[in-house]
Amino acid sequence: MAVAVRTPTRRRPRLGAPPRWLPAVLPVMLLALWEIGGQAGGSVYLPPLSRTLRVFAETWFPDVVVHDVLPSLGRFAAGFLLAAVIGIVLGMAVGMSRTLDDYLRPTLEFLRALPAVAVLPVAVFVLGLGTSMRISVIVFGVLFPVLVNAAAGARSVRPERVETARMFGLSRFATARRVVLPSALPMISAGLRVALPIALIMMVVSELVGGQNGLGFYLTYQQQNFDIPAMFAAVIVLGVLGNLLNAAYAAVEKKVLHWARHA
Amino acid sequence: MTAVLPETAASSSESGPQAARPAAGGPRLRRAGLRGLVFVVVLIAVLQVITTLIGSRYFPRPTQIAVALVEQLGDGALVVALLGTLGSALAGLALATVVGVLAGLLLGSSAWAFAVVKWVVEFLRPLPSVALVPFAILLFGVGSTTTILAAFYASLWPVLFNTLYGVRDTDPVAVDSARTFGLSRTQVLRRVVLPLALPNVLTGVRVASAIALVLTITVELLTAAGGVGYFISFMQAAIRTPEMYAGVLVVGVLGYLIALGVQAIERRLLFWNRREDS
Repeated sequence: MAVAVRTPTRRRPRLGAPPRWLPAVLPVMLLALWEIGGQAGGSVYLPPLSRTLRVFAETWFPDVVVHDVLPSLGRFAAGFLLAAVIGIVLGMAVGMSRTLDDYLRPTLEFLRALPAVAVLPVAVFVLGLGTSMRISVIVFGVLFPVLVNAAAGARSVRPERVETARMFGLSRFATARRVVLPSALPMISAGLRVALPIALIMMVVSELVGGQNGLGFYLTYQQQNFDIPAMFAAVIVLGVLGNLLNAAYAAVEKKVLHWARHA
Repeated sequence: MTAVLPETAASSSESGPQAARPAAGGPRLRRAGLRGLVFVVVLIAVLQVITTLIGSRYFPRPTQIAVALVEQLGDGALVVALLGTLGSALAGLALATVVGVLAGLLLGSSAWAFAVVKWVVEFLRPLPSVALVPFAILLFGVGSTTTILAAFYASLWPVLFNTLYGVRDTDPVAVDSARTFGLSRTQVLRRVVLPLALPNVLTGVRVASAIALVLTITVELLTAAGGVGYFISFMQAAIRTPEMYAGVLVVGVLGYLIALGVQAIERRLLFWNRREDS
């Protein structure tokens, strides 16, 4: 009888592949439950889906989008890009120079292990509750994963490639740009992928502590107003945003790194 | 490649075998360690000089921070905060590991189970977990329940997905052989699939350990529920700047120690799989 029990994932599953529509069942059920439960339960914490959607449709366009979503996204983009550039440049420098690596490694390891949120009160204290504080907190969260990965990528470049380039008379900078950077790109990209959700988290946290606008600020504001449907709307928007950013990054990565698929 | 790669940098400073560095012997490591130490010392000295010169209340001198650190540690306040944070983070991480591994095993070994929850987990995973903290505060109030649940929720995803990928990557031949020898389904999962997926599982736990700490501190910052996060924000509000920086320093050390601890566990459990991470 032992033959009858097989793991369904193996090459030829007994049940066949699950139908295409199966993934849609649970979300539909959950949304329906949300609606019914919200209508029937009467709990303040679970407003029906329809009410959440109504709040969303009525108040978000264009007010909340202009007032909160766009500033959040702007700071997210600024912080992420700034940290990416700094992290890649510094990381490549560290990865290409054994000496620099020796000197900086413990410090960088420590800073990477330091959870970026812990720096938030310091940033608020020094920079206040403005845009510069939020962007710098995002930068702090993104910088070290990118830097460490860029360094690892640059370190893993085969030395004979670098030496060949130098032999052909390329300057150190040209070697970095034309030889090391392309070889390190898959690793750099892995670091950026890790950093993407961190940037989003830091964006939200930096707004949760207060301020004038942003999705996180909207969340705390509505929490204080006890406007649960609005909070749900904001969480759903953040979920969609997280998914969109992931998908966008995957698309960019596929386009830029298509040659590294098999590397 | 998808796994976060902190160990690529970290392991080379430890004992990991280094293919790319044939000279990685004792003297070379010692010199590297010395240089790292020199940089730290010089950095602190430079900061000391700069902060003394500008005399800003935003940037206390490193010596002041050291004094505050010793005082707070001796006083016990920081130690209590530290233990609170560590306890919440570890509790959340432990819960996430148990649930994540079990769910990952199930979802990785059954295409049907995965298809059922696919859309839900794929929507929830990229959702920034901190956005749920205001909800958690409303629902569970201020206290360690909220902190632990937040840490649990956020660190669940890396464990779950890494386990899932690990299970999917297991060699079908190994599984089929175990089957042939008459092992039951659960036995195969426990004795064949789980060990083979262990490197992935531990990668997930390593990523999750950092996330658990982040969430713990975030909740502490936002709810004033004790812990180092609250310690830092309290000192910030009280404008006791050296104490605030001392708190940040302690969090950094905590993060570093947790990372080292997880790495040590990894090395211990994966002694048979050394080559994997170099």
